[in-house]
Amino acid sequence: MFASSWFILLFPLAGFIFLSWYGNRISKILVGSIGCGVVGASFLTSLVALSNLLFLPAEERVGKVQVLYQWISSGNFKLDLAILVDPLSVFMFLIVTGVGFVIHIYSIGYMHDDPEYARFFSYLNLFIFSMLVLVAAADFFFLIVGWALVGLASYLLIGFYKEKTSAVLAARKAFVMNVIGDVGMVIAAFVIFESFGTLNFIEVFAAAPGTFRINDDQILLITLLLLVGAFAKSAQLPLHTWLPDAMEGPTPVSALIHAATMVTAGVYLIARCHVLYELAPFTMYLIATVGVLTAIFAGTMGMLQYDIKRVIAYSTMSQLGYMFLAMGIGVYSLGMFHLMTHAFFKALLFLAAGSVIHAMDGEQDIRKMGGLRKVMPLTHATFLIGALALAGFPLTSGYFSKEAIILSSYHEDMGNFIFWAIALITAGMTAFYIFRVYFSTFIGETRSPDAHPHESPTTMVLPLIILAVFALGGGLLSPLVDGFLAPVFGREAHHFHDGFLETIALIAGIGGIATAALVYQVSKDRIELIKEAFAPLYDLVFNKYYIDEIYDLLIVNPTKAIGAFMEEKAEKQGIDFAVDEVGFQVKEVSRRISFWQSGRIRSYALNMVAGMVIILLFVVFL
Amino acid sequence: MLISSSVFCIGACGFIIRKNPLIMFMSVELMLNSVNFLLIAYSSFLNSLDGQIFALFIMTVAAAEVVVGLAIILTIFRTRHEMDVDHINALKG
Amino acid sequence: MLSLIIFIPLLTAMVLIFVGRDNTGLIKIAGVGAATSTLLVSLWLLFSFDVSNPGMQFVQTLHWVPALHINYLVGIDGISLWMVVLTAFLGVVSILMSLNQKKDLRNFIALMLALEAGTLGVFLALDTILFYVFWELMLVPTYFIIGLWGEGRRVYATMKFVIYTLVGSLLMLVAILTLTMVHYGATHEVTFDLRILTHTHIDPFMQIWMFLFFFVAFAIKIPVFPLHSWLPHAYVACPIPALILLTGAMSKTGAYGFLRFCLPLFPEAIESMALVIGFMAASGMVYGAWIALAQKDIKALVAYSSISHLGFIVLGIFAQNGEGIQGSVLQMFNHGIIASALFLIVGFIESRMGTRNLGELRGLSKSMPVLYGVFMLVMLAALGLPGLNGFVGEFLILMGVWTSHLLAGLASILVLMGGLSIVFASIYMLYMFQGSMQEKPTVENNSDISSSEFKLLLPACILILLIGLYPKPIIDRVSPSVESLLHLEKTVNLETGKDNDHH
Repeated sequence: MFASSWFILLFPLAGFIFLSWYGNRISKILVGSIGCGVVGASFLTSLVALSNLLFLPAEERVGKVQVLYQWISSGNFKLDLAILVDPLSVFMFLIVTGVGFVIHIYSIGYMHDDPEYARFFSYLNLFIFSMLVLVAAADFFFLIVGWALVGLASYLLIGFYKEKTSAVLAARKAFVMNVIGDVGMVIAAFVIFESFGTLNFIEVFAAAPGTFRINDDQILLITLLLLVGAFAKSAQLPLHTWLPDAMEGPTPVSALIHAATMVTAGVYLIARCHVLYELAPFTMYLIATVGVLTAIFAGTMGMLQYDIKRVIAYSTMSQLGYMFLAMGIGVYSLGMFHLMTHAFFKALLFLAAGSVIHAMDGEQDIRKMGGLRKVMPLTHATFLIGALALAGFPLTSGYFSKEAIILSSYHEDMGNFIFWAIALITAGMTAFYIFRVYFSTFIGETRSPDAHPHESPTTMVLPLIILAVFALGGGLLSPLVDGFLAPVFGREAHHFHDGFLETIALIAGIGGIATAALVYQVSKDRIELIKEAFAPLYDLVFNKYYIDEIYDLLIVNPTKAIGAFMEEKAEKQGIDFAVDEVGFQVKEVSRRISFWQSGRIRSYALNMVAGMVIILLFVVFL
Repeated sequence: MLISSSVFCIGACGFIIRKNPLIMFMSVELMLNSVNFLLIAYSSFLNSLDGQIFALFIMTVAAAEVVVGLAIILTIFRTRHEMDVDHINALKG
Repeated sequence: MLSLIIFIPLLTAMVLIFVGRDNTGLIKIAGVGAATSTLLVSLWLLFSFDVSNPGMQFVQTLHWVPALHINYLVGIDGISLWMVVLTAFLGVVSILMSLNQKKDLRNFIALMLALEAGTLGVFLALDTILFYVFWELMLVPTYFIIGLWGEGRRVYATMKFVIYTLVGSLLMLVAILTLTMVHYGATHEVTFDLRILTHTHIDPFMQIWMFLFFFVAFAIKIPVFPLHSWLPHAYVACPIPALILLTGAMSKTGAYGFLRFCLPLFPEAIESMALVIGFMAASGMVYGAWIALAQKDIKALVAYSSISHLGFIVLGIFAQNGEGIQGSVLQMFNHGIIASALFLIVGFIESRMGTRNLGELRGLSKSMPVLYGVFMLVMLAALGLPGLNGFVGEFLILMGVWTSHLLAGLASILVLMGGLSIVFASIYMLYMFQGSMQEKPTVENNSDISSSEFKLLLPACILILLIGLYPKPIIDRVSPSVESLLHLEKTVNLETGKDNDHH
């Protein structure tokens, strides 16, 4: 019944192969059509999978594995090439292909003038394919394969402007951090294989509760190692430094990768392996802690940045923190729901920002913008909707998802007051920084008199509208999502209703917006004064807490230095030298012995006689 | 046997001590002869012909060797005008 | 039939000497013809191979030195099968690559063919003396190739390589002879037939030093850290066509030696030494990778990365379990393909730009888009991107190490070192790739790789993708032989002096 689901993956793969080979030789229109078309086809096929799934009664919706062929059989290690079609994976399919499709359409307009148009679409298709492999994998091995391919695709897309040194370096940074995550996951796979004898999800999850006690060393090891991968991919502390730099890629890339899909892979991972995580409450606690810390940490940084894309990037990091918080306290479907709403409004924000950047001819500094409300009404409206959703304004989808998480952080068994407090403060910050951007960009008078901004073409505006609709109405999907994902998680998430806390959260959100409005009104000089008063603190936060510099100092430079050191000392003067010494010494010895070869017959004769005498003595006396 | 070994030693010493190649050659012949002497003595003592036959062998070989050796010495003398063996050390290494 | 593989290149090499120096047309035809027919025979072997049979197949026996019971004995099994195919394939690639050798083409091709023949012989020989002969046979052509056609400090490099390897080989010879003597002591029968010798029970103490002698020989050849210092010099000095055979095929002979000799003959010795050797191999992995980070010459960079990858292979062998060894054999095949493709690319870049220094290379992707794509694929395979062939091998090896009984004490550290070298691999590979291919170009009008050059790289690309997608066929052919290797029974009883198990 689900055999057709293979096509969900195959369409974008075909798109990638075709476009990378022939892309340069066909017209742009064709490239765009194929690029978007395959993703659209994927989306439709995902809908088919969804409906097939809905046909089945809830209990039967889990564990449908489609096997293509046996991939390897080595020793005790057997593996099939297979995909898993269940509510969780179909949920991800829909998000990835749906939002992906919309972004592809947007790219037709945004990348229109770029000479490497075809290459861009081929990489986008590759990305969609990789992400689908990741979420469709039926075992840890192919999860890792998808994981790495996503890393590859993001490397290609971040470094798309390959003649720009900063882009090339950003891509490398992202890739290397990704590999670190990969290694963590590979080692986790080894431990899993050692404990369960298989890497197949269904078999592992079925066997886990019986095999391990709570907080057993092995299960802690597995969950922590998997976490390394999750944190690297989802840019949580401390493996987050690649995300801001990744803004070097074109804006649709940021929308796709850093809003809707790739960064959510970590959240998906924990959701998929929740059985394992439930056996390791310690790790869950760690996840929630790191999540909430990342949320506030990123929130602080987002408040001070001037680059519109960077602010949105930090907000992504922050919202991912929320998702991890949710996963950490056990409300998986709420985390997944926030994943979905976030995909909508974050992609929307990025695309709208892209629209602004496109209109301002590449300008990304919000200090140079202003008054765009009049010139770009649609972009303005959609951006506002996205901002409201991000801030968790009542009735937007963001409200439903974020609110639920904040409430759960207080009321759930695994939640506590501190989590709630930090989540709340961060919500306030979120509202502040996104509206700071809003006011600075769209309201008031323009600060760049030379620019001639204009509303973006339809291909760019249409996706904005679509996403805005979902950003607004997504909240309605909440109960549906819960019910749909319940078979996977074993239970439905409890929705708390606490009027008191909800009001506080509301105040925080509105307070943030109001503060942003106030700040905007305040004159520039006053702002400068405030900045100087808090100079050291300001510098610290503005420079991302100098974490990049710390990493450079502690990790990057020593590694390079050791490499150079090893080459000089260890190789040239050490091992190589030793070997050469051996040769040299042998030559020395033979040089010295060669003196014996004097060429004088008489000394030879003397030696012969002497030797003979000695031998005679030996013979006679022994 | 005593005579034989003493003659042998004289020959050996002569070979080592003298510098003139011709004299060295004579010493070599002395050594060979001493061995012959010993062989023949023992062959009669043991009533076996082996010793004598072997002595004949040695004499033949000695003759051949003398021919070659003298030829070499003559050639060296003609090219280098050296009669001091110590100075002929081209094979030094 | 099997011997054809060895003798086609060997005889062609000998015949070529009689061909006139200037008759380049004939030389080229002879070279390519010999290499291609060798490849065809090896492919025939591949397809006729009986997958379920763990023992030696296609065995041929000829009396050679009857007085000493030394026979010409060759055979192929799951482990050597892929090595033979790999060598034959690389032979074709390297001969095709050497066709534009301007200096003394005839001798070069002849030496390359001889090298190929020697390497093939090593993989096929079942008589220990014959093995030794082919082992040494590999050295002679290499000496001349690096010494005469090489670059840089070529004489120094080749002398170092030859003498270093010879030291090991001589120790191995001693061990080979001792092996036969031990067997003679037990059965009063002189034989150099490896199949019989592997069933001989050897006293553990003797095992250790015999194993060490073999180990030194193989460890120098592969090479294993810290006996690797000949490699950077030799690889950098060696001309690219020969380097393909050197790194692709010849380095694997050492690993093959471990599998064919050390594992079956000296199990107790291995049990005691596995941890040390495993650690050495792992150190080599990290060490090679770390130094590669600091390299500016792309040929040297790839050379050091080879040390790193070969360390993986050795590590897998000493994990002594199915996954580890099969991973190693797979990785032997993979590395042969990947490393030779990398060196080909280095060669192409050098021929266009005249330099191998990363400082001077920039933005080549603009003028060479096809090379860009191929380079990316090969580079990703080299750093072990999951989904491509390199990862399969590395995954199997590390998993074997993790679950290994022999390496249990250090397993986590070894795997972490493996992880570290993988991370480093991504850094230096990207450094090389991005450094040469991206950013603004300094020279604009390079020509892209020609279609013939592309065809040299195409099989590698296809295999990289194919093996990543479907490694089962390879593993299936290797599996039975490896399993029988791990469960070898020592049936020759030292006390009674009789062979309990009659074959």
